[in-house]
Amino acid sequence: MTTRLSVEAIVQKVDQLPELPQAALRVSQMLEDPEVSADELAQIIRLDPNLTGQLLRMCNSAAYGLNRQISTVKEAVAILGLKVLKSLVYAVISHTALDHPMSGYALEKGALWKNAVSCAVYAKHIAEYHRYIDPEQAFTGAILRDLGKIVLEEYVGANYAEIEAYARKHRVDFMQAEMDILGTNHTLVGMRVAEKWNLPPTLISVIGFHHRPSALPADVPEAERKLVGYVHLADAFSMMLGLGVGSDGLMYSLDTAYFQTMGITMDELYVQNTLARLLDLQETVNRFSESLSS
Amino acid sequence: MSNVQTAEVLKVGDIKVANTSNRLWRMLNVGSSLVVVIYDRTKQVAAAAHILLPDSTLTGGPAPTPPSGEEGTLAKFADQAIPVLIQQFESLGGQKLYASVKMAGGAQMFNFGGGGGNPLNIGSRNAIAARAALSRLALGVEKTDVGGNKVRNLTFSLENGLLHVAQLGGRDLIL
Repeated sequence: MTTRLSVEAIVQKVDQLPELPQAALRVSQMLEDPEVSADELAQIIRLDPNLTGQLLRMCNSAAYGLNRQISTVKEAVAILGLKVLKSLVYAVISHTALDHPMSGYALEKGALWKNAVSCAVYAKHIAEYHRYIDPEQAFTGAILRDLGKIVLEEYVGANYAEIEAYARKHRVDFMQAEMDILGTNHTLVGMRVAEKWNLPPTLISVIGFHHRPSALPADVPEAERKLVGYVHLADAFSMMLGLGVGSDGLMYSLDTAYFQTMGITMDELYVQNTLARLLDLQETVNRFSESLSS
Repeated sequence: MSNVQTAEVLKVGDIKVANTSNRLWRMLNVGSSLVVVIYDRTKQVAAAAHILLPDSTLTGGPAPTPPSGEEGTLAKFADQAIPVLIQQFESLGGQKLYASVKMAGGAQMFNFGGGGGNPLNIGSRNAIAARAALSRLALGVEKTDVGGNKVRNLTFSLENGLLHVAQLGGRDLIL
């Protein structure tokens, strides 16, 4: 018999998650301060050799097309800027959280991490294509969007057949089926994880609404609405392209009406052209994801 | 005599052709993309294409250059990939008369019902476009596992022409 999950049970589960690199969390919070200096950041980062190594590996992964090796964090900030550094710090957090086997979603170790990177690279590209003010934020939101799966996977695995059958019978998407069978879903759980880790409110919005942007509260600012929309779109395209997609497959809906509010005409021309461009980014996805893979 | 099988991966956009039996082709993470394989059982000649999109004329600009079939060129579109696939199959001695064609993939988002009638349903439209391109070359499709909402991992054996389909979270079958 299915056990519906209480909020208390989820919070307890979140508390049992592996510890994050504290330096990465601290740096992510410092990066929310617009006055923060590169020197201050570099000082904190170099105290953690593991974080330093991960950041430099990503910088030098060829995903950024640099024509020389970067050997210090300060140099990385000078060349790539603070916005990119922020993306990389959140990528370290995402990698720590997601780079595990997720048998509940039929995913081997590394698959969810690769999926997160593909969605992040696509989201950044889509945001750039639409001239969004901060495409790096789309990268960051996308790479963290499925945090909730790290907690929910155990329960999804134990009840997969029931969730899948329910979705088909009632013609609802996988997320709604998770909600109706388990009493919660991976976006709600993801918001709890993000809150526990003190992630900024905008990222919590992306995690919570990346499958249903039209459910965003009416008072959410336009820039944030667009951000969630780009991540939603990148998420859909990453499902179609299949990399690191698990047993939930493509059992999600594209919020097509939402794109009218963003000024995007969602027709076959748009879908074909976007997919064709995203395929050309596969090498970037591979290089970036492999730079942190052991 | 041992017949050790080496495995090669076909990424999206790849076309491969071979006439050796000791090989497996793997097509991983097949979402809305579509894999088409053709196999001549009498000569053990096989060719496969991993297609992303249905129609090269729907780009809003000039049609992309068709794939040359050489290593590294991408065959993104069904209407361009299928003629190259068949041309390569025949150039290695494969004959349509003894050929069987199989297709798998073409998954769709949950709310993209209505088959190929929904313009956003790339998976279904890939299958329709591939069938049409094959039909223009007088070829039918013998076996398929197309559509649905599952990502598939595929393995094709050049030894026997069987296409193994593993749907993540779904069924396994052999075409």
